Amino acid sequence: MSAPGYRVHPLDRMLRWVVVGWRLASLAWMASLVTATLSTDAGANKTVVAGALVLAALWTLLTLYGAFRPWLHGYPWLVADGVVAIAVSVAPFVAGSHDLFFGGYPLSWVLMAAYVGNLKPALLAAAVLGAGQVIGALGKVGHTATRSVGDVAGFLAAALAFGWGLKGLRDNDCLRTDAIHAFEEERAARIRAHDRAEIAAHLHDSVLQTLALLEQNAADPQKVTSLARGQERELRAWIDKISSPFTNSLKAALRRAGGDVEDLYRMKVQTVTVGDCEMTDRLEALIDAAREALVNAAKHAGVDNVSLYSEVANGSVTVTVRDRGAGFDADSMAAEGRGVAESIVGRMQRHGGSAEVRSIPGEGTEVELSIGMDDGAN
Amino acid sequence: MERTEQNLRVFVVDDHDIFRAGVRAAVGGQVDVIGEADDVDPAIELIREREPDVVLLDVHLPGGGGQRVVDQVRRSHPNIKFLALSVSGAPEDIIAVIRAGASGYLTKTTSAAEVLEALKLVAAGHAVFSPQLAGFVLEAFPSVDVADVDPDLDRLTERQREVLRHIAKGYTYKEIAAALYVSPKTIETHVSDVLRKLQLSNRHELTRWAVDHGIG
Repeated sequence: MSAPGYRVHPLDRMLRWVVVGWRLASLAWMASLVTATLSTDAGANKTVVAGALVLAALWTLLTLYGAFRPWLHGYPWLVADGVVAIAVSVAPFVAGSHDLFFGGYPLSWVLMAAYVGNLKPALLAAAVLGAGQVIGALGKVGHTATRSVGDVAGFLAAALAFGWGLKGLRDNDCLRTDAIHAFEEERAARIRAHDRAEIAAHLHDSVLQTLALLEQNAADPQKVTSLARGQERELRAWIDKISSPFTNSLKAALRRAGGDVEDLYRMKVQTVTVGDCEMTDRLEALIDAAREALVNAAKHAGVDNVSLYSEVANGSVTVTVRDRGAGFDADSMAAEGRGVAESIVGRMQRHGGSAEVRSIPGEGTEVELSIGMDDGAN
Repeated sequence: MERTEQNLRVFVVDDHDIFRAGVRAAVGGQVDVIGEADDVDPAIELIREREPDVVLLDVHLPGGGGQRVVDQVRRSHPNIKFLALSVSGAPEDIIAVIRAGASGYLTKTTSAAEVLEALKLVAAGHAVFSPQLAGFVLEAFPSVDVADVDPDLDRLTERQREVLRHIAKGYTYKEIAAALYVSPKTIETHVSDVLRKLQLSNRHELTRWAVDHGIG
């Protein structure tokens, strides 16, 4: 048996409702025929006629209920469904009715079989129903062999139509789904190839150029150090940029500020950041103040490295610049001369933040800057 | 050589020849570099065979990364210590190696003297937190107000965060001890506690938290 397209997808949902819809329509058709038989066919056993309709109606309700569950896919369901359909299809013979009052109901089993397993179960269901008609018609007045053969042919034709039709729809849908997957994969591969090309181009333009410069300047350690640091910074900034959820992040802005000072003063700025956020005008002021503190350390501390630390937490950003250098007396005129009051403390206060400068002569200086991320905070 | 006791036996795992040569040149006189490997499987085999005191390990290795080396070796040789080195700034990789059982992490730009000092500390059973690692751990662990929302999350105490914050700012253990009015021994205990917490905490929660906060 060909494997039916049993993925849970829109086509399956649609087909299920076609099957259930057919059964509801068949039931309505049967109800009208049963009404006619009850009123016109005096020879028919009324209990059997009405009983067949009640059975069909109850089973249709159960089908409707099952349509919301995974039942309808299973063969146990299909067999039970068939027992009801056969009972309904032979009821006219049992009742001794003149007309075949089952309407389209038995065919709804053929459709159900096609839904469960495409062509073969549908043909089997049609054959079983046809056999029932032939056996039922034997010896019954008013039911000729010609008519039975016609019924059997009708069932088989319906089975072929349903079985092939559903198989065609499903195969087509599988092809379409596969095509979509192939297209998506191809597109993802194209994006990856594009990313790779971009990375290669970037490495070529930056790192390879710098390595060439390093070779040329191998005799000048200071230049080599500065080239290496510059390249490291550039590469890290680029990696940060492609992996950061922010377009203009605080982390990147701080690293840029640190890098500027490294370049200008030939010192190492060791940067550690905890948390990140999008830059705002207020945070620009914070970055400027931090840069000023770094410059002060570079100019006055007399050391070759300084720590830059930032933390984003509880709606505010804290930046600490710390050196183990000369230090100074924070209350003296020396502090004034370093621009601490105006360009650090004043700048932070103007933007609603704060700055604290702790310095011990001979031990170093720590400048702690703090500002709320939003207006009015902090 | 003025050292009288036996030199530290160090094994170096890095896939870059230049870097291994650099390490040999920088610390070779002070410690015994008893072996080298450039890939995960040979590293595991050789380390088990030679049983060094400390393995100096690159976080990023072909064939499963440094994490696998730590994990595999520690199963059979729990006493061998690991010190991770990396140029990477990717917190999740470094935290993964620490969680696997490494006792510390340094960036490759760390000076030879600091690497030596760190090797000795690690061999003596201490944790070595570089400023970067302190920053990563602060990022990876939920802060106290997040834990208030979900009390089941592992979290650092405010004191531990304070210590890590100082490390991230470039303070030495001694300087932190002075700033917090405690002994350097207490700081070492805090750092070891953080390391243990990191290694024992629920991986899923840490990862989820890190992802939620756009880290890594």
